[in-house]
Amino acid sequence: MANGNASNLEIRDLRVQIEGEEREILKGINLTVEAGKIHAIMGPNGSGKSTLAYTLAGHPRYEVLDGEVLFKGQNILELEADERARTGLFLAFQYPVSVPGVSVANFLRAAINAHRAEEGKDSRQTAIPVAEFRKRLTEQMKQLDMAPEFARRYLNEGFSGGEKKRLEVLQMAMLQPSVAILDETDSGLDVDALRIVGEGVNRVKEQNPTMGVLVITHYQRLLNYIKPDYVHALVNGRIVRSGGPELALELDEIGYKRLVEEVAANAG
Amino acid sequence: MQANLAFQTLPTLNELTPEVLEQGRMGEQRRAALATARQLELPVWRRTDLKDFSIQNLRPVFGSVTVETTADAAAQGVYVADFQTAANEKADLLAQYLGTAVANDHNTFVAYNAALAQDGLVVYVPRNVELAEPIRVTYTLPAGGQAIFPRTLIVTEANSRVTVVEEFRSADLQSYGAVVPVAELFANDGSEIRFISLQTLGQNAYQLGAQRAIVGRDARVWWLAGAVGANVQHIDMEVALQGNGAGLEWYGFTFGTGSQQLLWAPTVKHIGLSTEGQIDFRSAVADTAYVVFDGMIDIEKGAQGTNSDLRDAALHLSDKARSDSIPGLEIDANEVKAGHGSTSGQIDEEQLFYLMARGLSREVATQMIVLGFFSAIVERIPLDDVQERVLEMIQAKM
Repeated sequence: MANGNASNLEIRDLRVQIEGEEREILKGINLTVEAGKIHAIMGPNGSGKSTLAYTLAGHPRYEVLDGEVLFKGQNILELEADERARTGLFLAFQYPVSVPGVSVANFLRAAINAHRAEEGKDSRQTAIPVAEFRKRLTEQMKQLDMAPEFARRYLNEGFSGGEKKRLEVLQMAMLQPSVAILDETDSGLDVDALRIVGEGVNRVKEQNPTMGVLVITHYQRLLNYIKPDYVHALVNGRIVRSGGPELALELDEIGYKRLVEEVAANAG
Repeated sequence: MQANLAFQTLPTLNELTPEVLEQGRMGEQRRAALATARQLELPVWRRTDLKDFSIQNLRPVFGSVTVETTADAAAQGVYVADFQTAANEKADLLAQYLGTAVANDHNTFVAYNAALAQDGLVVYVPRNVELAEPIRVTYTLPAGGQAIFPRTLIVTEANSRVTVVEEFRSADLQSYGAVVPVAELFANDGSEIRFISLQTLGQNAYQLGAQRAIVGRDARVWWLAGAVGANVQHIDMEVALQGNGAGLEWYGFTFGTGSQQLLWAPTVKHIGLSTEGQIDFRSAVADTAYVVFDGMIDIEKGAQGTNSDLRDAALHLSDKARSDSIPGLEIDANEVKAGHGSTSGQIDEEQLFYLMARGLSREVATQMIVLGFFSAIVERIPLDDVQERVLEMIQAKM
């Protein structure tokens, strides 16, 4: 898919509040997620991790006060959520939403066709042939250890925590984004599910080496499976430290409490 | 077999004289019903607005019915005919059943139907006969200023089974007119009637009718009611679970747009021992449309072992759209299980965002959620072509 076009995702001076609340949550984020690289953002609860994820994806509840996010030559903050997705941005939800009556297969086919229609604006590219879609879906589901019936189930309805996260990775695998944001994909997973999901992400990355990945997580454990190139610490709406993979281990060791105290001391 | 009649238009109901009705026993009944219709006041319906409607100014028209059946039905001894043919050929059957589930004086519209029903469907299924293929019937409101009076009579004898699919439509989607249907279904012991009644009339038509089923011992009725058309609909429906062990599965869907006012009033009456009823109606409502679900579970004295459940849900697609749900429960027996649940709400913003975050436009995502909402009904339809027709009906409204 042409979505696979490499592009950095450049977040500049991003300041965000929740609509209707006079409280800034992101207080000027600067971060470039490089094409082909894995960046991890780690931080305590309430630091603004999920706000960053939702804001990048275009959730209407998050109000951008300032800043821009450049991706493929445009400021995507000016686009609707669906336009951002068709540009090649993907968010794996921390809490995937259930949609009764909409089957996994029908939804994925509609999503792929929406992406193809976008790319085909000039070349009249058509919908994905059903056989090709089925083949790809079956392959990807098999790799994620998902039973074939899964395709007929309704989106996230009655899914276990592990099934929900696997469905997020399946969608990512099918849509082949240029940049993927994984919002606490490890939450609610046991060790086995964590491994399946982690390996799934790595496989998508192997198939699509120029994909940039932003892994948002509270714990270091997911990073045992998805090895980051860079790690950033988010505290109180700001990135306070950046470094290599060793930073994740360090944060895990010292704990966020110390980091928060350090930040407070420096600010004072 | 396919019956396709030529249209015959009568004077308006105001000008109509009883002499134009046929002679013989049927004619006498028709003239009595006409007199009743003229005596009865318009029903007072709180949630159905008839102020722009006058049935007296409409001209009854005959020849609106098309019946499709199969060679198989005839070979198995199933009687299928349009109403007028059956009135001539099956006088005894009509004498036994007609007007016994829906009384002629139920209201003025039903009385007019009793006077003027020529177009209609009569199905009689002998004992132990199971007809695999459905019988299909279509009623077409031919032109403006007209009214049609479809009459349906279905009788299934012991341990038989039949499926009937009816659809009401308009030849011209703009014309003002009325469809006044009356249906009577008799599922005798151990038999099953599957009844699918779809309404796709034009935007200025009125659909005002009554439909009743009487269900015998261990017999079942499976009923789907669907409406997307008409300016105003008021359908009064009742299923009487008379025999011990009688069962009902009842599904409905409505999609109101523009300024449509569409009402269903289904009642299930539990009379026999250990009867089971399940009702699930869903409505979507957009623009300034108004939909009403006036449902009722009525458990009569002595109906021990009843198990009954009634649900309805309304999905609002605009701020000005309205829906009313009036589920009622009347219980006169003590060993029963009965429940009802009613929900209404807008499209869930989080669902919308989730679908949009995968690249679907707001419009496509909304359509998907609406179709998903109706799928609880659609997926229960046992016939593929009816399932497709229902999806078409829903999609045409979006």
